[in-house]
Amino acid sequence: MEMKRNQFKETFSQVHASSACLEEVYAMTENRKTTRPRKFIARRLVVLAAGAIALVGSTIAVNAATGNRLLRHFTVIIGGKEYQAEEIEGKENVYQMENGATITFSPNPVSSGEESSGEEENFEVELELDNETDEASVSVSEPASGVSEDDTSNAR
Amino acid sequence: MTREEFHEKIQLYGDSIFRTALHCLRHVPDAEDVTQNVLLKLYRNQTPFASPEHEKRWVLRVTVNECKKLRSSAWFRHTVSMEEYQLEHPFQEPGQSELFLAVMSLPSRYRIAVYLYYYEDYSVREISEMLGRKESTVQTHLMRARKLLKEKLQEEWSYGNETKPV
Repeated sequence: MEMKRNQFKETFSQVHASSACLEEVYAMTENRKTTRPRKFIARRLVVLAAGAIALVGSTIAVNAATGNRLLRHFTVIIGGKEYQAEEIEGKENVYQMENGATITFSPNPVSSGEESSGEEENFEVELELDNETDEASVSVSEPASGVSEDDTSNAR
Repeated sequence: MTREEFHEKIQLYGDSIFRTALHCLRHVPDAEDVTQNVLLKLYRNQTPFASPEHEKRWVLRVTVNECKKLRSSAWFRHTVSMEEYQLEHPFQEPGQSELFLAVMSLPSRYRIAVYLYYYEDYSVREISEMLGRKESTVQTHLMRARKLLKEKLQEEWSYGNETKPV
């Protein structure tokens, strides 16, 4: 029996998997480490992009369906207290808060008597609410001058 | 498992897996596919093995299962030619080609038992566990395989003590 067993082993020990087959499986493990995370990241980005597109699309659709009213609301937070403000129909840049006070924004605070230089400028906006008189005042000032007040809107 | 460890495993088990799969499937490309699948399963396996022998047995059992899965699939190629393989990979000694072709011409259920018994030195009980067959069935398959090989090769393939049918 041993002779046959040895003969069998000698014969079949010459049967090998091809080196290409074994190299390929070794390379597969390398690919698995490098390509799979990339695929995973790409898939997540696609999902996020699709979500963002759906959100923007639905917002635009709802805004159009409500006569562009969706984007005419904002929340004012004063001293930790939230107030909802809504643009008054027919009055551009004039908003009424839920407590009855109105806020007026000047879209171009430097245009009063002055020509804009065309360069982008940043302004500081301060909103003050007087609880006793229900008056809200919005102050827009240039940060460069620091104290110069270009436009002040009082709202009732 | 690190890639270096995996490289060692490929060297250690690659040929055994291929030979086992070749005995099961009698088709070189399919056997190579199974070899790759089993090695990848070994690479991804998280369960530690109790011993190298435990690991080898796991590898061969997974190989047999992969072969069974492939044989039951619609993609299994039934037309095979071991003569071509033997011509492309000539054996060193006279008579080895005849033995190779004689073993490969056995029915598949006999081939795998013969390989595990004569090459991998597993006992009938171990082979029966690996293949999911009864010990008596494995013994019968070995006995019939020997008979067929004797007819083909005009040689005696005697029984070992542990494989003598009950």
